[in-house]
Amino acid sequence: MTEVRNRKLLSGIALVAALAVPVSAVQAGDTIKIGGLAPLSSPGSYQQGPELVLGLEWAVADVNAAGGVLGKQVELIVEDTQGRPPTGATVVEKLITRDKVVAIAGEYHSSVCKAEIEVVHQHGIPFVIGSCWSDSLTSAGYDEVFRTSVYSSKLAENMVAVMAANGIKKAASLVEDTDYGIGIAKNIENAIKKLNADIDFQYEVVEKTSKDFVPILLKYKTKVKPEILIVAVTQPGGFLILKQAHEIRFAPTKETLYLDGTCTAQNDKVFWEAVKDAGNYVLMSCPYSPSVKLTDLGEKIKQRYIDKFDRQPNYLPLQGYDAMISLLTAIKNAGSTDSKAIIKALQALKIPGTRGDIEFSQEDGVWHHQWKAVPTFIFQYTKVGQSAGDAAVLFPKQFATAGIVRP
Amino acid sequence: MDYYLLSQLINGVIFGLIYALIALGLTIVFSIMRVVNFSHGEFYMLGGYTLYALTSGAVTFFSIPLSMPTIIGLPIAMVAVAIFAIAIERGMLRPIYTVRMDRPEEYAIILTFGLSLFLQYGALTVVGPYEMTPGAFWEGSKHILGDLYLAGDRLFATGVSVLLIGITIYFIYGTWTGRALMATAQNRVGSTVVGINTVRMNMIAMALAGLLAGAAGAAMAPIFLVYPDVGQIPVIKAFVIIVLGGMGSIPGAVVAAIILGIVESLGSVYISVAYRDVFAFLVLIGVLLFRPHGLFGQKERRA
Repeated sequence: MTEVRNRKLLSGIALVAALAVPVSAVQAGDTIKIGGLAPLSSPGSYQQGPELVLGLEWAVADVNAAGGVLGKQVELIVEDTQGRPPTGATVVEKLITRDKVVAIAGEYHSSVCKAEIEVVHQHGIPFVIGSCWSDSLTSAGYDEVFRTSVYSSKLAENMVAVMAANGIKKAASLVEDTDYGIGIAKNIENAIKKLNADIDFQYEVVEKTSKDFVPILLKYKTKVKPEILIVAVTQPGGFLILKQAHEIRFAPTKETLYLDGTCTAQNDKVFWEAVKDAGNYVLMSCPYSPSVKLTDLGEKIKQRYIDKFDRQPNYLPLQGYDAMISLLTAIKNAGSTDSKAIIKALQALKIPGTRGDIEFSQEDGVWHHQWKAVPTFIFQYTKVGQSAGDAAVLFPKQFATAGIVRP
Repeated sequence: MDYYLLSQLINGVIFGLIYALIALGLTIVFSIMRVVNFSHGEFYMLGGYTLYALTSGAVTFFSIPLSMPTIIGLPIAMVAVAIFAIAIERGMLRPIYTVRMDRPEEYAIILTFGLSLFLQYGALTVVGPYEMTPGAFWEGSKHILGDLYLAGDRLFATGVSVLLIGITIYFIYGTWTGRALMATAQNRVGSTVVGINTVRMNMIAMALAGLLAGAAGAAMAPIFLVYPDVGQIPVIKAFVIIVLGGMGSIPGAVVAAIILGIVESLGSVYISVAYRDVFAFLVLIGVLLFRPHGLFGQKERRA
């Protein structure tokens, strides 16, 4: 009796195994798996994460519609990194070891990226950073890490160039307590030295989750009296600082300009509803200005976004698309899903992205595997409720449409 | 005359009073029900969302866009959150008192913690990730002193806090129901013996907590915006406040909230703004070293 039962059990297991093995083999062979990373829940910036994912998804969809890569469809596995470095490291480990992804793209928070690059470096898996701006990520010099987004030192140099060109001698800054925020402040200090600008600069690190910034803003207003306040704090903290700087009549005013270094104006409706009058005369440092023409691919993506959401896109879907299209093109060029071959193909890559021709620098330091020519802009609102596309571009010079306007 | 220090003190007191409104409901629920309500921050969030839904015109009711004045939306938001709080008490927390269970306190902690996550992720899914801002209660900035200007909305929220703290103190200490609540807090069995319906007292405590958290969320929404995890940091501060003031003490919560507001305001400018959220815990540790039961707390007698 026992023997019969055992035999039945064994044949059952054999049947299940026989059914399961070919299915998993078919699944593994059918697609090329790519990991996608973004913060999709608290305490991460869950407002930005889905926008970045949109770009990743659209690039995968376009490539799949054109026949896929290496004769296979691409399967995107998106993981929520929650803005927490340990979560980022864990999900990257899971993507590599359990899902067997061949490469990874995305992520928004620099602190999380910092944890993730260690894991991809350990496994030798290529990772194209979607929107982490800290210089330390590329200057780590890892072969596996590439970046299509802007980086802090470039943004800082732009800000210092605008300040110097407008005769600003005293600047103060509030930056968030993250690798990104502190990196911006340090890079502004470095850029002032590098460009030999005569600017007295000081900064304070704030907790981005704080609600009340009035004490520090009042200190700046009464004791420091800067000509410009530079804020590098992601929303909602960035919104609150702008509202409260306006509330205590500190900035933007005739005496003190306000420069938002984080580009919180990602969604016109949300921005203006949140900050109201406070947003007028704000200078915004962004990786994208809707008033500047994109590449043909970029214009196509922009139109797709407008058709879907009935509003202008921000920089995140474009950065996400650029990261993913670089990666998928590199796999295609490599003719293989081998990590080393993909890395080599990424190093040799030159393709039109949404915002220009993407190619990765081979220099050391922050430019290691960085898209050096990635565009950035500084524009200024001059009317309440103005769309980012109608705002006056101040920088770079070739796109500038106006000079700084004071209230 | 240099008004700088005075301006910082005034801002600290104002922010302390705002903290007090959030902490009050938490301490009432703890003292009456012995439940640490981890979803209190989400009651605060619901207050803000309800005000937005009632006043922004973005939500329609039988095809009519709701765009009532914020001042009318505020009491409705309070009542809506109170009704929600009653539903949570009746549907989820009541078994702690009506059913024999081994670890009722742990049950309540796990339940309210789960509810907090459920409401946060629910808001993220249903309403979306973006910040929302209801219309103003009091437009513009008002000159206070020296270089200090504050938003009319911030002053309005402070006024609402003072008014509701006053009403709550009167209700607790000046009415029969309030005294019955205090009796329940002191001795649940004894209260039952003298004819107090303690199960009903639980419901009143939760309703009160909902009203206060809903008021805080709605009154502060125009200043601090509304988003799914908007209640996370305020509720952490509220926990610090109720421990600092003495678990279950209403005057303790108010005093502790004002102390915290001042310490955060002065610490931000005289020590470092980077540690603003750490000051709360430093004060807490300092006070608990010398008064383990908090500023106004009393040593509990256990049978």
